[in-house]
Amino acid sequence: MAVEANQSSVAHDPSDIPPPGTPDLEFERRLCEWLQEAGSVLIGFSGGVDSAYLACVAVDCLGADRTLAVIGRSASYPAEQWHRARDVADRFGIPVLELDTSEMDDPEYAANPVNRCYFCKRDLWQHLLPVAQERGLTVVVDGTNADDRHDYRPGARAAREHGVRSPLAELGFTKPTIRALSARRGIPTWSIPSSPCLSSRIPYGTAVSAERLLQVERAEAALRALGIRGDLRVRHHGELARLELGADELDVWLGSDRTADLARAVRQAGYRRVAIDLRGFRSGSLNVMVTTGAV
Amino acid sequence: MNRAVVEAWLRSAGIHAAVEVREQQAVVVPESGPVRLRADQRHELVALAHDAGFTHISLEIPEE
Repeated sequence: MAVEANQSSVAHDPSDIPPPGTPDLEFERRLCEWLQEAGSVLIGFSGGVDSAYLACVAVDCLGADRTLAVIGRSASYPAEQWHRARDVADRFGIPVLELDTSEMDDPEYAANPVNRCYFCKRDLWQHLLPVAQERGLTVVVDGTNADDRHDYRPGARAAREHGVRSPLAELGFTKPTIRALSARRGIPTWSIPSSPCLSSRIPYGTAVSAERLLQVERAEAALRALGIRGDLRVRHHGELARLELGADELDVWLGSDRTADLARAVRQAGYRRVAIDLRGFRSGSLNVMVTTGAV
Repeated sequence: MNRAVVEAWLRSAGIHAAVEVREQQAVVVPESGPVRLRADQRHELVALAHDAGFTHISLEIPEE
C-alpha cells in the first residue's frame, strides 16, 4: 500500500465538528464494567473515532495482556488511517496485530453489490476469530456505535453471524458522546472526520479494484495536501471524480478562484473530469441511489 | 428527472452551462470557463435539483 509522506498527521480541526461537550462519565464506567465482564477482548481496530476510543478504554480497564487490537489491511484501507491507528496504539500502549485481509479476492465483494460491506466484514471476522481463539481472548468486539444502527450497514449482519459484539452500540454511545469522551482522554481521533473504507467511494455495481481504490486514495491525499481539513470524499464515477466537501469548506472553495487547484490535484490522480457536489458531503451519499432505485 | 428545470434556472442566473444527466445525477458543465456560485445560489440549485428528481447535482470544473 502506498504511504504518502505528508499523510501522517493525526489531528484534524474541521470546523464542522463541534467542540466536545461535557462528557457523561457514566457511559465510560458502564463500558469498563462491560469489558471487565467480558474478561478479555480482541478489537477490530481501524484507527477511526470509535475503535480508537474503544481500544483506549479496553487497555485501561483490562490491561495490555487482555487486550488486542487487530488492524485488517487491504487496498480499501487508507494509508492515512493506518498511520493514525499506529499512532494511537503507540501513544496509549495498545497491543496491535496487523493482518492482511483478502476481501479483494472475493468476487462477491469485488462485484460491489449493495451489501458489499457484508462480504468485507465476513472476510475480516473470518481472519480475526481464529486469532482470538489462539490467544485465548474471550470476546471479539467492534467499534459500531448507537448512531450506526440508523444507517444502512450490511456489515452488521456479518458481525452478528460471527458472534462479534458491539459494546458502544449496546450501551447507547452516540458519536458525540464518543468524541467528548475521547477528547477528555486526549485521544487525537476525537476531532477527525468519520472515515469509512475507500470502497465506499465507488458506486454500487461498479467493480471494486485495487487500481480504482488507489486512484481515489491519491486524489483524496492530494486534496488534503491543498488544505481541506473537514469531511471529504472523492466519489468515483469512471472518468469523472465527484468531490464532496463539508458545507463550510464547500462555500469557501466555490466562491474562490482556486477551484482549478482542486481539479488539477484530482486530475493528477488519474481522473479526466472533476466536479464538485453542490450539496456537499453526505455520509452514505451513494446509498441514496439505492433507496431511490437507481442501482 | 427534469433536466430542463435546472437548465432554465442556470439561464435565469446568467450561467452559461449545459446539464449532463448521469443515472440520477445532474452534472452542470460550464460552456466557457469556471463558474463561481454564492452560497445562496448553491442552496437554491440543490433544492431545485432535488425537486426535479436528481439524487445529486455537481458543478464540473473545466480544464484550464
